[in-house]
Amino acid sequence: MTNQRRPSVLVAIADATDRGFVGGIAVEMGFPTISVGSEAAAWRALRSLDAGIVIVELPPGAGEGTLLCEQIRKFTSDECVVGAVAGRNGDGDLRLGLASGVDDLITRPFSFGQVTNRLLALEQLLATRRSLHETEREATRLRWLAEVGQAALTFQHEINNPLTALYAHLELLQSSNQTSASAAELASAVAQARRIQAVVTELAQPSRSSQRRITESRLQAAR
Amino acid sequence: MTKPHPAVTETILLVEDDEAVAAALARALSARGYRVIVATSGHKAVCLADEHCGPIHLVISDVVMPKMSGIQLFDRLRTWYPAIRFLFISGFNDAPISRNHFDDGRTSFLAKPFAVGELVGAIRSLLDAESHQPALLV
Repeated sequence: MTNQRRPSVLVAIADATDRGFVGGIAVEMGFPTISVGSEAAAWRALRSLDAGIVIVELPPGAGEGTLLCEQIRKFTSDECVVGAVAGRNGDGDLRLGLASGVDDLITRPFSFGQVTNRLLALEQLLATRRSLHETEREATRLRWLAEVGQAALTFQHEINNPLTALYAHLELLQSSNQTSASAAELASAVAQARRIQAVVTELAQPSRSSQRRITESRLQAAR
Repeated sequence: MTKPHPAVTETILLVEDDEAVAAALARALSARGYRVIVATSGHKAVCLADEHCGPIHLVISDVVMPKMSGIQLFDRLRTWYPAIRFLFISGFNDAPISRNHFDDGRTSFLAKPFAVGELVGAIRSLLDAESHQPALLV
């Protein structure tokens, strides 16, 4: 995986030592990384960086970190993943972190290997989530196209019935005694009806079952 | 100009829920010399076939109709009259007709819209097939 393809990482940890440690590991792993020490700086960076992975500090009790997590969720929807570092790993801290929208929680003290593996896991989670979103967008688009196709077929049916009657009436008129002028008018009317038929047929052509394209979709990758 | 066909004496049961289409096709086929019985639903077609005194040589039926579809009508009439000739017509080019319906050569499909000449061509193909006998005998 090249550096250009790796998601950007925003490290927002107040403690300078931890910030440098986590940020340094991210840089070493090849992630474009910005490290900040406050919520305000994190918020500014998030808007400009388009970060895929955000590492925030989760302080004991409701605080700056949880608010930032909630804001990230509102701002980015599920388009980024959030890892939190915490000083405690009690049930309450875990519940608080998950409730605020973090995807992973790591408790101090953490090692180089723990941070590395957590970053890799977050990167994989981000890729899976983005793939899922892409699949959902494609599914929405296909549903819309299916509805358009169905509407086209219904439209074709609704037009084909009166066209059938029109052809029959025109033929009855053509078979009756007529002047050369009216014969020309009738021939012109038939030609215009043929034009309508061609347009309607062309409109519904992509909706014909024989024209359906089957493409592979990797649903397993979008869990 | 279409010439009359005085030699044609065949009877057609035309089943079409769109009354304008039914009326236009009935007039056009009558002008070609066919005797046409019109039904605007599958149920009416069954009743008319049952009440009709004389042979019905061919059934022309729309496929998509409320309550009784053309397929259901076909299945009903084929049970009673196995030799019946049947021409499906539909504005849906992908009408839900299975290949089994066409295996015996006594059934065909014509997509709307069609010229009366095309319709008559399809009718003749079915009626002029070998071992032709009136399909509905009372």
